[in-house]
Amino acid sequence: MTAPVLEVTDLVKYFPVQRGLLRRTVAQVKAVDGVTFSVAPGETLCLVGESGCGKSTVARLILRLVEPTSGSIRLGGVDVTNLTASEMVPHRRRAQMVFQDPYASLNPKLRAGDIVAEPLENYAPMGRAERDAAVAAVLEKVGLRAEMMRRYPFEFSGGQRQRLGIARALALRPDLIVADEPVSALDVSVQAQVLNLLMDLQEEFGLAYLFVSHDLGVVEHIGHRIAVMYLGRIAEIGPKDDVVTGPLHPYTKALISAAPVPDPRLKRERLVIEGDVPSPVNPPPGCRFHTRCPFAIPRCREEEPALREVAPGRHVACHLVAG
Amino acid sequence: MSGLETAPAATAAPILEVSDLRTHFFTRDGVTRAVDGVSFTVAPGETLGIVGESGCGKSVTALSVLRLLPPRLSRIVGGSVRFEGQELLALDEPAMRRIRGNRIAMIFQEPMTSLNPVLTIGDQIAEAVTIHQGKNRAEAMRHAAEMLRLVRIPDAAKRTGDYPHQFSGGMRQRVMIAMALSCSPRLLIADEPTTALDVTVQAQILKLMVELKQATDAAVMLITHDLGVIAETCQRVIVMYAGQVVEQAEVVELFDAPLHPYTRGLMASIPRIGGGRKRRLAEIPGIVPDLRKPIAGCPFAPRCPMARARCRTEPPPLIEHRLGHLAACWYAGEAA
Amino acid sequence: MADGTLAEAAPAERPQGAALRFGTFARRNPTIVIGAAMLCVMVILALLAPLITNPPMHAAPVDRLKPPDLSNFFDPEKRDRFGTDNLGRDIFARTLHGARVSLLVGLTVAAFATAVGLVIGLMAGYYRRFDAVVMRVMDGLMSIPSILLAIALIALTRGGLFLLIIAITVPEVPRVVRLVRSVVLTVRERPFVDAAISVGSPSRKIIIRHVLPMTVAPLIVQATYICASAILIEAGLSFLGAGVPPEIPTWGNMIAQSRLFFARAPWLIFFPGAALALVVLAVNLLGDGLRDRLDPRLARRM
Repeated sequence: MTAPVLEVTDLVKYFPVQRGLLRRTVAQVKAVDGVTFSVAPGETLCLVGESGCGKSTVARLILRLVEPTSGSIRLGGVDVTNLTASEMVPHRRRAQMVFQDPYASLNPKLRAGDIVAEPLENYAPMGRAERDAAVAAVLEKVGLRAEMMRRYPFEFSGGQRQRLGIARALALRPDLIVADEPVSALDVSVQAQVLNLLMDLQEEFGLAYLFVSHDLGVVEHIGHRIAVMYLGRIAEIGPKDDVVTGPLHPYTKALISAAPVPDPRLKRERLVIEGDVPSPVNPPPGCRFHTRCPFAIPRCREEEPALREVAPGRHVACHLVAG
Repeated sequence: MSGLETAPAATAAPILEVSDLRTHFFTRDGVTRAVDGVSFTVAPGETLGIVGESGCGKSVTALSVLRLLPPRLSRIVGGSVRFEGQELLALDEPAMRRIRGNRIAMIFQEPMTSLNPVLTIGDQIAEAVTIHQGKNRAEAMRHAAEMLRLVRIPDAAKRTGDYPHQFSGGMRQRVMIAMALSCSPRLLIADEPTTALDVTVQAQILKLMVELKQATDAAVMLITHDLGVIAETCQRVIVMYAGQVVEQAEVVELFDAPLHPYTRGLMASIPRIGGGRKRRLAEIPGIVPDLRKPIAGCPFAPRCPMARARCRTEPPPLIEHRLGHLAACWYAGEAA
Repeated sequence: MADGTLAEAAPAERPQGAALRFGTFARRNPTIVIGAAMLCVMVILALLAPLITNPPMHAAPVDRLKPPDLSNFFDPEKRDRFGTDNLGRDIFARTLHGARVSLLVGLTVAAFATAVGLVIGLMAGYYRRFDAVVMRVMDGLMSIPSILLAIALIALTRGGLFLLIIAITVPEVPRVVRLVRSVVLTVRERPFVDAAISVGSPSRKIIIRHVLPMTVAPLIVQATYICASAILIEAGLSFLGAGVPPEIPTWGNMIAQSRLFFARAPWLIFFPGAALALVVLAVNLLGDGLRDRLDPRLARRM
């Protein structure tokens, strides 16, 4: 049994809300409130949820772009939760990130080659020729021509820029790539190109992905396992096929039901839940979903359900699902 | 879902008739032909979907119909837009203002920025009826509360005194719909109304729009890039690419038998739930053409798996290949 | 799997002759061209001043208070092109020599203030604790009117040109620090900085490679405004007698010395005053033009 590439335990992140001249903390935004999961080598775990669920914060926490309030993060078996910035550097080559915005995630003043070379230069001093060769190799892998390394980001289209971001993440041959909504900002026809690329790279290099998205269709295509998040906690987690065809948590059912399907003949039982997502500053007591859940019982208002294993590899946080 | 209702009788005169519309944008780097000969109609009470990716000209088409384009940067250079028989492009600005918000209403993509942050919601909804129907303030406010009730905002009467920042994203979009419907327009143009919303909220808004449409019998022009939204809400669909209409059909027909290679490519490249983990999604290689340069032949030819010599030199006209189903392709319907 | 032709993403460029490109540039950015041209002319005149004029200190009481006479302009013996002052000194020569001091002060103050402000601003923007201390000091400095601060600094020291430059630089630094800091704070939040952190780049590399280049455009614009401001402050200090030693002609002390004779000989004030106004105008035009061109959003007058 190979060690997981990533292990997250009880991860918590609260952002303080500060007011007044003395910057007193008046409230906490409970962005991530106790999240536990792991990612095996070569597998894709998708984090799905709507705005405010904390999935992007989890992605940034794993890479220590934001400091956790409590909990632990283990990369390749090593606890990296409390390492200082310089201690963190050798571990960063194990986990890289692909960002959502193809326009803001590339420095507009640097050439494509410099952007992709930066990770390589940080870990091994290289001569000019060696560096160019390494950059060219990575660019070819993501479907860009080597001579493009001299161009600036503004000369690339959105899809090409995202490929560049993937090249940068791939350069150090990490074990894990955290992809934060990598295709959400792209047109549909370009999404397919980038998704295919990610899947090809996974097969070729044995990469594990933590794939964050709000689009269930994308998640279902690329994921091996799916974790559904709501208001900072995981509602349900399990193998992709099980979660999609047989969702157990009411929120998962609502998410799947809400996604519009490109088939006009399809008549289906729509579960349309009312209301808006509550604020993460004041999550509802008990089960966080109970204010919008069509199946809520009194117990849901009082007691927060734990994430329990209801079948091998299948965890659900709901009182109504028998363990 | 309204997709399965029978479309309104074909004999009724169309409420909106767009013919050969051309809109150009003037930039420092050249003239962009954002809309390049677009023609379509909308029947009374019908929901027409306009689908395409970014840059295809669908939003500019909508703005051209309502003549809301930035005046110095762009101009409608040709074609005609007839609403209820009247040529909109020939109207002067005061006449056009009497139509906007009154007979034709529009809702936009970003509910955050489409509402004035310093006016109450009640004021903003009441503005339309005050201007177009001459209601006095008390009547207008009552009407505003009524509209908020119509869009299922709880506690409607009290909420008319609230400001936009006190509403969530989904509720703001409901407010926009309330504003748009306040004068009972005959045509509602919705430009990506749910794109900026979470998927569960999107489902609520689409459900609301379908119900309201049935209640008010307004025609709807729904612009989106999401084929799922099209399938669930529209009766007829036009597909746009590079400023032109490449395919037009009733919704079931379009999904059953897409004729244009772009439409087919688009449908094949969407990952869908229940589709299973196919090895690869079908890709459309390449990128959209630069609309500043003249395009010889079919605009999709450089990316088309079926392109032949004729496609690169002669632009294909939009003609009827099957009943009620038009496509702009020399080899429409052929296998790749 | 490769994308289609890249050429579609970039606008096609027709190769143009240098003259044609400059013509297009001039048409689109008239303020930059005019400001730069004026400034160039003045710098050239200032540099050539000792070669093309009579000695500015040469007093000839017999020629005192002669009005300007532009005939025989190129006669090397001529001493009253712009008239003479109460000691018979050649105002044309003194005006051109005054340009040397003003431009020197303006340019060096701009350079020093920019350099010091850049370093402090980068560190303040990136390191929170340093920021808290530094910004309070900067706020304090900014609350003192710059001319008074300069006078105080000069009074505390011996005087002289170098110390004058330092005295004018110090009050200008806070504006630069503010500007750089605000750029740094914005740029820090951008995803490409997160990306640099995640690929293992150390803070020093991130600051120099990713943050610093973003400050260049607004800094250049701010530097031009500082130059204009420094020239005016120097003139003010010289007018008050707190500037360079009075033997060296500067526009400020020329104006000061002409107060008594203003009614009889207005040209004593006119030429240094006009020169001062033109230089400041040129520098401001250049700054405005650069700001409009580089990034109107980022460059703000502090």
